[in-house]
Amino acid sequence: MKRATVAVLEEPQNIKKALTCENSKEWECAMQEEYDSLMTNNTWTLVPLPADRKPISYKWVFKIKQGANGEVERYKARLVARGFT
Amino acid sequence: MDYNETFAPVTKFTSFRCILALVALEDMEIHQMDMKTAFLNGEFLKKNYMEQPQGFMHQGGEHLVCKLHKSLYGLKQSPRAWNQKLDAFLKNIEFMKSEADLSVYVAQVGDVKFFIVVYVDDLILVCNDENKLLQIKEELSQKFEMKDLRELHFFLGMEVERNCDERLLRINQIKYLKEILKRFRMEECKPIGVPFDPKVKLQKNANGNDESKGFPYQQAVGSLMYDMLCTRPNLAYPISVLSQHMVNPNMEHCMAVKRIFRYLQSTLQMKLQFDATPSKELLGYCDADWGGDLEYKRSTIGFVFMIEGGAISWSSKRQLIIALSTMEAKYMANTQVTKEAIWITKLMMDLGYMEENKVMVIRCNNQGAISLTKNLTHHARTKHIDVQHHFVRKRVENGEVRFEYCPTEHMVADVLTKALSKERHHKLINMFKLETS
Repeated sequence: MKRATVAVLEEPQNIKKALTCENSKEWECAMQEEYDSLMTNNTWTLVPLPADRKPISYKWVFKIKQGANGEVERYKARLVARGFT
Repeated sequence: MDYNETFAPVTKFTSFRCILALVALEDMEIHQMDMKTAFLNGEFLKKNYMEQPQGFMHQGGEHLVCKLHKSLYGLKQSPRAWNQKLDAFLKNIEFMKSEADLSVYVAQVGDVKFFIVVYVDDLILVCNDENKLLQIKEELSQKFEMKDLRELHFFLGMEVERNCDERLLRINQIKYLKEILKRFRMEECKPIGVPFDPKVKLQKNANGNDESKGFPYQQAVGSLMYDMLCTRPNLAYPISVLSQHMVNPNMEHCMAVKRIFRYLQSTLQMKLQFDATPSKELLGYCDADWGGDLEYKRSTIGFVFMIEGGAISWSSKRQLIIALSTMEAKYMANTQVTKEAIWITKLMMDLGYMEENKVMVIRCNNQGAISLTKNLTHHARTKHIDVQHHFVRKRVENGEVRFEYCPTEHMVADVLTKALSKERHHKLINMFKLETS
């Protein structure tokens, strides 16, 4: 559910908007944080793509985490796989 | 994408309430832990490749792709991969998975009982020994990145309150209810005593088009349904009726939904209570309202299971088949209630609360229906009853369930089958241990 206070804080829909909006610094940090966490967790290794395979795409999801009183707690970026294909 | 299986179990509200009832009864500790980046813990059996995220390209390796080792959010198989990982770990530390609810794990050594309820990345830990609780928490934290939320206060929109001196445990959804009252602009509405007007008989909208005039009928019924499923057996009947009119509602239906909001306004503080009365009884009640549905003359059946007086499982449902008599309707209700009884018995046995071969007692207010569960008498009047309903007789024969007579006056399931007067409505829901403190 979206409350009036939520609508004021904008959550960018895509990476382009995130990096051009007024909070781009925070979003950039958040993305770096997420990337580092993925790296420390050994989420993937880089390999050449086998000939018979297609890679799935990804997207970034941006969320503003709020505390109980609506104050901004942190900016969060999450890398998600587009696993619906 | 390469995957075979995507199913991952989540806990059922009934099992959650069963465990809460046991917590109150045996004065156990109940704590909550949260998994950080849960899905990243899951591992894949099959190979998956993903494009490299732009801006984080590996220098000189731009042509490479990411071969995933761990699951990422957004993959269909992620919840399952995570669940399997957790499952393997819990089994490794001597937990048994309940067969009745695949998200409940049980460990029992001597007098120490331990339950874990898994809801994706939320874990509920229940134990009657504080040291054991700390030890398991420590083991979980070593294996996964966990956040310890200590004592359980909130779970899936339900607030859990405890009073250890009086050995009471109550769940409420006051916060959720306030939110939905606000969302549907009903926060200022006038309170009313019963959720459904006994004089109103809702019929299908004959005009065949949506006449809700912009009122978000489906959303409102859905929001109320969540409340009903979590903590409010008293809403089961009205919600079951209203959800039969999800397509093309008219103003009459909208008024009926608004009436439920008004009823919630008057019962906002109501809490479902579990306590530690020493009777240790687990009882079922079932009832049916014959031909209650105007259109097709189908009957409505309702049942509820209570442990120590607190309601743990309830249902209100319109029957699919038309019954020829009250007795027949109630006999069919007995079939439905038996299905649930068998499941609850299994769960309770897994939780170590019920001994094997214990009979579940179900109360019914129709002698004819009870005698029919024992013997196939009255051949002329019962020969047409579908074979599926005789399933209950087999179970009675096996000694899994037993039906007992209960006068209509004390039949709590009555409130799950029809609209009642204010006085009777409140008398019955008090028996569910829905308390206003």
